[in-house]
Amino acid sequence: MANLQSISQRDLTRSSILWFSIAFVLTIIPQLLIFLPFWVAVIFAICFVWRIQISRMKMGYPHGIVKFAIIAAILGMLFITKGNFLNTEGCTILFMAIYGLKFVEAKTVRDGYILACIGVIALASTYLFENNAYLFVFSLLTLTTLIAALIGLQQLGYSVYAKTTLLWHAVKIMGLSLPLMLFLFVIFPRFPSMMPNMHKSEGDQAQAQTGVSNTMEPGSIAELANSEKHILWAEFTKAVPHTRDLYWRSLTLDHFDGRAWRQSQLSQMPLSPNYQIRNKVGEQKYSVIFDPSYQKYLATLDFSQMNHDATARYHPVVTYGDFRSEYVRPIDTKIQYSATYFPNTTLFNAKDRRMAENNLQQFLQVTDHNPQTTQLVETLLQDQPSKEAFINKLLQHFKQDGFQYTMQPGLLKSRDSVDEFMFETKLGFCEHYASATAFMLRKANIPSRVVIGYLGGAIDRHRNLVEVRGKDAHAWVEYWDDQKGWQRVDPTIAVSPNRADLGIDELLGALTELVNSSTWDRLSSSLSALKDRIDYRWTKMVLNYQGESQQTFLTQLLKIDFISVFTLAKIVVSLLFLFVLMQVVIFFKPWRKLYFNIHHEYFRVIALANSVYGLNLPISTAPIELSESLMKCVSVEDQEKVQKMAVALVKYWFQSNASTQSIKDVKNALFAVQKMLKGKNVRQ
Amino acid sequence: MFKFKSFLEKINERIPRNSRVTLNRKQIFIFPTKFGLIYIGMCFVLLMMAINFENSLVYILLFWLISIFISTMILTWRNLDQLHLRNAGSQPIFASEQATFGITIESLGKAHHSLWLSTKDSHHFVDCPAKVSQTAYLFVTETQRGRVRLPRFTVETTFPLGIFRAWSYVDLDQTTLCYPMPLASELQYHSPIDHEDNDYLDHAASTKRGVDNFDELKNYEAGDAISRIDWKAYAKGNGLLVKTFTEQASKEIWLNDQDFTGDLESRLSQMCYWVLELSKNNQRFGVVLGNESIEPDSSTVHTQKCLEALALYRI
Repeated sequence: MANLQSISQRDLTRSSILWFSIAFVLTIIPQLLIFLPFWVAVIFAICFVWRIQISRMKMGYPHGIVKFAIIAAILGMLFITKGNFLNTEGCTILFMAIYGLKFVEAKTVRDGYILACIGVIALASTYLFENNAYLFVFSLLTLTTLIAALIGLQQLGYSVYAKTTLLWHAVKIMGLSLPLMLFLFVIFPRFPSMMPNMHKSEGDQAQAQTGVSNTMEPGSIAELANSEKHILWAEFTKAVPHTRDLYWRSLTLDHFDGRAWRQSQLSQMPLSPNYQIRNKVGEQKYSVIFDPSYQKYLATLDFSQMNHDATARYHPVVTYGDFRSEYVRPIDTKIQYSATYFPNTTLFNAKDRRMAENNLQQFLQVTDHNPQTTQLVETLLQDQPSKEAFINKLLQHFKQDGFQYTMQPGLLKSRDSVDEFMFETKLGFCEHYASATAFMLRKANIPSRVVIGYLGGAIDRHRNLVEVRGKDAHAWVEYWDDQKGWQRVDPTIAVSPNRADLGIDELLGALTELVNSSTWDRLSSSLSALKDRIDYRWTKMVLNYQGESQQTFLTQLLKIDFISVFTLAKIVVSLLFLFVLMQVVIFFKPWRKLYFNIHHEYFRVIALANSVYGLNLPISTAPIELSESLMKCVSVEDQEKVQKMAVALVKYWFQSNASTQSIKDVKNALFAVQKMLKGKNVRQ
Repeated sequence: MFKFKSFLEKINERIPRNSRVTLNRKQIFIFPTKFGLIYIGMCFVLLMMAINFENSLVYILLFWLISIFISTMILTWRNLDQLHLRNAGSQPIFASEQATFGITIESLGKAHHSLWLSTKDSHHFVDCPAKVSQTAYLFVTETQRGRVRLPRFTVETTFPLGIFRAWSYVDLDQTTLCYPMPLASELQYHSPIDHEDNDYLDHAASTKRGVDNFDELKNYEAGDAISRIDWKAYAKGNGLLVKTFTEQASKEIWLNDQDFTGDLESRLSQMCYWVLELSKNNQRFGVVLGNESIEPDSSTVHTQKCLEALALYRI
């Protein structure tokens, strides 16, 4: 039997080929821009031209051997260019090549279906490499064209529907499916990844690391400080703390070689942090969206406790003994984490709450470089001041000795870079001051270390949002006090109090005396602000809507404490049924069943007439015939009813555009005759 | 008591044989196609991708595809719902010819796309825009004398995405007459005037000549043979006139199935041949079939009556 399925061997329709071609190109373009190598582009161009030539009947479909050769060539190329290509990128390239080949050889409607499936998965594979909002909107366009191509497969013969009609249908289908999609997105349970470490960066070429690094030498922060690059967005539950309290800690550096500060082996040991929350004044939760930096370091407000999802199988964020938090792997996608900020916390040392002598050595290590500065420290120490007094003296020195805060301090080339800064240039920014301060503290036998991270950020007080960029990078110093634990001291503030009070933007503006007030500048800055906001919302609402944030969102929405995956699954299933039911109600109008069905009522009249009067009328009897037969049997007053019924039925069936009035007439007439016939039945 | 009904009985109950059918949810069946199953497989692949890469966008794509799957189910179903089909009549045929049945497909409200009508012999694709009626044709290839019935046919659609197939079995109670297959043979006939005269050929020859003897023109009346209309006169604007011939009326021929040799079918076939031949020559003739008989006449209506009698004799 030639049903629709068995004739899927028929040729692809022209309009389908058109839409498949468009979908193919639209899938390829972003991929070429993101990750596909050049030679793959060449293959795709060949595929596309070949397909066009086939549909113009100038070339034939590829033979089996040709197809095999192409696959072998692609594998070869992959092996040559990538080596081991069994990673996400290599497999995606291979898959795309298969897509191209299938695109060429698709001949029948069945091939068209397969092509559509491959197309959808190819589209999804793009998301593994890039997932910003703009790409997503673009990919929806691609999906729509794929659906248009699928609709095109339904037509037989030539151009039954116009090509644009197909697209319109596709848009309608997409729109119709949107509400359920949104519901599913919110409610569908997110299962933990079965391969948590399966990530695209493994085996890939190393990405340029951004953000603060684990080495600080003169000039290393300067590069970062000039960048507008996003580091993080933080959203607070209450009011954002003052700029001077927004010290975002990324990591600590405790090894000094006379020029550069580094992270020592000791501080990389996996020790858990020791701290005591003195009081909970000013405590608040905040959540952070951290941009990919290709490093492990996060940035947390000093001091913050990470909020872990109690149900998660593993915690991707680990906090170390020096209160820095690291992600389990280099951050290559936007990640989200949340923490609780406690302004009044005593920070202890990791291994032993009170620092033992041998541990102190780690934070007292210095070299014999920078003799001038060493001499200065000795001068300052002459009247044997207390720790605090010494630090105050030190800061006073910065304030009074003509030090200047500048973003262009010039390069410090000498080996004794601290000396050069302290006595020659006296120009610098945070890293210079932090480096010199920590060095001097150590010389004065005060255990200390350099902390690097960010200070402040652009604050949006209406939304309780802070946006931290590369230029907010900052370095400060922590010294050890046996009673109070680690204490923060920020020499930069001593030199330039505005750094903390105003934030870097105003400071830089004041320093460079640049007044960007042209219309174009304002427009571009507001545009970039808009772009940032979209980016933030997108990341928060969509990209990071995973297990934990889903849990938070749903529990807040439903005002419950906890919702299990199983419950969610149940909700999803019932939701699907509900959706189907809803559409059924909308489209099929089940109440129509309650409507009176003239055919059935008429058949009942015939059946009744047959049984009462022993007539042998077939079900296809016309109303006139029925009334003629009945006329002979019934009394005069009943004849009228029969007559009326016949007239109403004829009017209803044979007069086009029957009005509601005629339906009513038929109904009444039919019921009257039925009643009459039933009465006869009883009498017999 | 519960009675287990066969599938066909159930179908007959659900979709009674009727010359007009408006499909509704009682009569429409729906199930995923092979591609629908592949589609589910594809969704599963995407789910694996979304879970393992913890990628929200893949999740969105997956959810959208799931929603499309469900929407398509409704849309496919809806594409058949409220579709109105009715008998568009058919022409009588001669045995072993192909019988053609017209089916009017009418959209009462919305458009119905990509409909596929099929029986085991034939199929027809039709696309029905909103509030428009279209005619589709189905054929029955193997026909025998008598009434030819169009079997229950399938109306199906996989529109819009080919994920679901919605179908219904419709019987529009369509029959057509199937006349015997004309079989050339010698004329065996009875003449009411001269029953012994078996030499038809002379008569036939004389009749043929007689046909050409034009007598007069008279006004056209319904039932007159179209072949006898004087088209030239009509073209001149003289109205519809019919040529009449003198000699036809003089001889009447009775075709009797007993006069022909062979089995019943073969005799009827031979009679059919002569009914056609004689009508072509405007010969007056009557037909005797067993106990039935049709009085001699020469009109087109008469020919049809005879052919019908031949078609339905002892069926």
